Amino acid sequence: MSSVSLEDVEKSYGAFTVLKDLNLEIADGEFVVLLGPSGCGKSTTMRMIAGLETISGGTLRMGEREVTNMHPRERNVAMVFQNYALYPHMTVLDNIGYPLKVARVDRATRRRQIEDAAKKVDLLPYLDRYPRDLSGGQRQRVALARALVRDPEVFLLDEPLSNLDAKLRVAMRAEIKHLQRSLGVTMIYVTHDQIEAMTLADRVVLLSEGVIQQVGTPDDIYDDPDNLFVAGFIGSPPMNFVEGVARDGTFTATGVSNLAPPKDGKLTLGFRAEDAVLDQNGRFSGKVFEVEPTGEATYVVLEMGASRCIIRGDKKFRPPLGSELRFELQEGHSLFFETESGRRVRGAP
Amino acid sequence: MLAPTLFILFITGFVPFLYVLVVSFFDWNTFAQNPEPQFAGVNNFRRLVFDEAFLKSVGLTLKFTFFVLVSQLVIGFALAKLMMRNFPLKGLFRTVHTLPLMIAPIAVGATWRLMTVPGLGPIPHFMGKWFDISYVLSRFPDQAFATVVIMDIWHWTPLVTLTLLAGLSNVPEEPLEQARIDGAREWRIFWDITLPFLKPVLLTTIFIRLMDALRTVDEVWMLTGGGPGAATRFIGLYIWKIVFPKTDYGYGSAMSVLTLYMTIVLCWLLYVAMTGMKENKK
Ligand SMILES: Nc1ncnc2c1ncn2[C@@H]1O[C@H](COP(=O)(O)OP(=O)(O)O)[C@@H](O)[C@H]1O
Ligand SMILES: [Mg+2]
Repeated sequence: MSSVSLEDVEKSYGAFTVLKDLNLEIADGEFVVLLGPSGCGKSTTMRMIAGLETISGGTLRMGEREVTNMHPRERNVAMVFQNYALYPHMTVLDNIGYPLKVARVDRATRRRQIEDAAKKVDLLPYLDRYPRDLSGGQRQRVALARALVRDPEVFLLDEPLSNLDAKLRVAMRAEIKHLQRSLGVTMIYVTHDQIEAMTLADRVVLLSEGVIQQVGTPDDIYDDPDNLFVAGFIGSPPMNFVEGVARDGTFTATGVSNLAPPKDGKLTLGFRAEDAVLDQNGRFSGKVFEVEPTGEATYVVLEMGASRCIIRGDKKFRPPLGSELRFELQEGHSLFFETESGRRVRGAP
Repeated sequence: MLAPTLFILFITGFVPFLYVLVVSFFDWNTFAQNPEPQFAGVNNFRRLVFDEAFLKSVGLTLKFTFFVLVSQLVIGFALAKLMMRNFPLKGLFRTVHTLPLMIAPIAVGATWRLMTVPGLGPIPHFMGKWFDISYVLSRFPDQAFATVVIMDIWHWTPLVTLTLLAGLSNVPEEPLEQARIDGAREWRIFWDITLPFLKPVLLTTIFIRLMDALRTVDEVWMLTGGGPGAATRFIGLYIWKIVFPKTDYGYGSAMSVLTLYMTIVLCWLLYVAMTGMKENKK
């Protein structure tokens, strides 16, 4: 296992730049998740690390080795593709054993290592089957076992769970995390599903349009977003945004009063549904537009001027539609962003 | 709906075959003293086994088939690989390269004949001018054989290219990339991953070309007429000679039956060899 570092890495296809100025240090044994909407360059990043795509600019290192222009064979990484990429004409045994066979590991050792890997993902009874005779979840495990059977520098997983049904996805999620923890391997995991990213990652790398928006622990990303994109992408329901203007130390927006901004100018206030507390004397108010009970809580959609905000209430809470609700935000949970640039404005309000 | 189809198949396919099979057990030559068919048991086949000219033509046909098949597979695969990439004027190249397929074999033979006529065709002219080789098809058996082989390669390689191209474009990208990450070298990936994906297409192509090559007649007939001597007298030409100028129908039928049998056995052997390959390796 080793660390991975990307320095000013770039990727372009002709004149079309997919990724720019990618800087990222991944520590040995760390679980890093690349998160972002579809088409933002996650797979491309992954494939550059694997060596399947050339790197247009910058440096890629694994441990002490520079691997920027190395052939995938020499990089020693293991990868799990979204569609598993199993060899359909080989049995599970041969699929898992292929990296060893190519590396000329002798048959007895190979068999033992295959069984070790298969045991880790509960595949032992299926070794003689062909991929076509397996369920989606089992195929997924074969792909995992084929990665585990090696001793790679780093594990790369590109949306490994997106072809599974929801229930299996949750189960496999836990298994992957457990495997990574117990083996202490470096893992880079790509997903567009923020829940997956939050639950799995030591650190999340949030990408948008080929640029890293923020790198941080799931808590950092959730509580302390660097910009509007991050704030809006993470969390369900997404963060509420209210646009307004700050002048002479007061933030003015429909439904908001007496709020002190960190600076003047066009600002956007952001807050999360669960940080709102109902309060007769609260500084925030909105008209009830819709009520959405989820069973464990009730989400109330409020109209605050032009924007809609969602706040979270008690599970029995049923305010009448059209009524006026007042609420207050918990200390330190009102975030400000520059409306134009999207940048977060930190500092005491 | 099935009944009429089966009936037509029976009339057009099975009945002629049965007829030939029956005739092969008769002595039947319209110019013989007794032109009526007479039952001869396995006499025709016994005659065949000792007919040196026939055995020679069988050997010649096998040699021809081997050369054209191997060349066509190698060249066809190389061209298919080439056409998987992009290069300028690719569309034009693809069209031009399939043109030989659209020419009737008899016309192919005629064209090549024109190209090889001494004193007229370009091939003898340039062979003499550049390599100082006296190129006369009607005199040198090796030249005749080689020319026939090259003509067949020219004629049928595009078919192999097209089928292999179809096969190659159906090979999914991900297992190939996975194999690269798993540490395999290119030739190894070809052998372990690409080839198994290509196997059905490859088998079909080989069968088609094998059967075609074993029954090559018309273009060779036009080019060399089977000569010089018997240098290019393949089975088909020999059968023709027995059945038409000599009107020895019984004997000709026996040859046809034996050739069919030989073709089936060859295909079967090949099939077993190619499909059994992987299973044995466990
Ligand atoms: N071979 C290619 N040529 C041109 N553009 C490409 C190529 N491969 C990917 N792209 C572009 O790169 C961008 C990022 O793609 P990708 O990394 O697959 O996104 P993600 O995995 O985040 O969904 C997309 O806009 C895609 O259109
Ligand atoms: Mg992707």
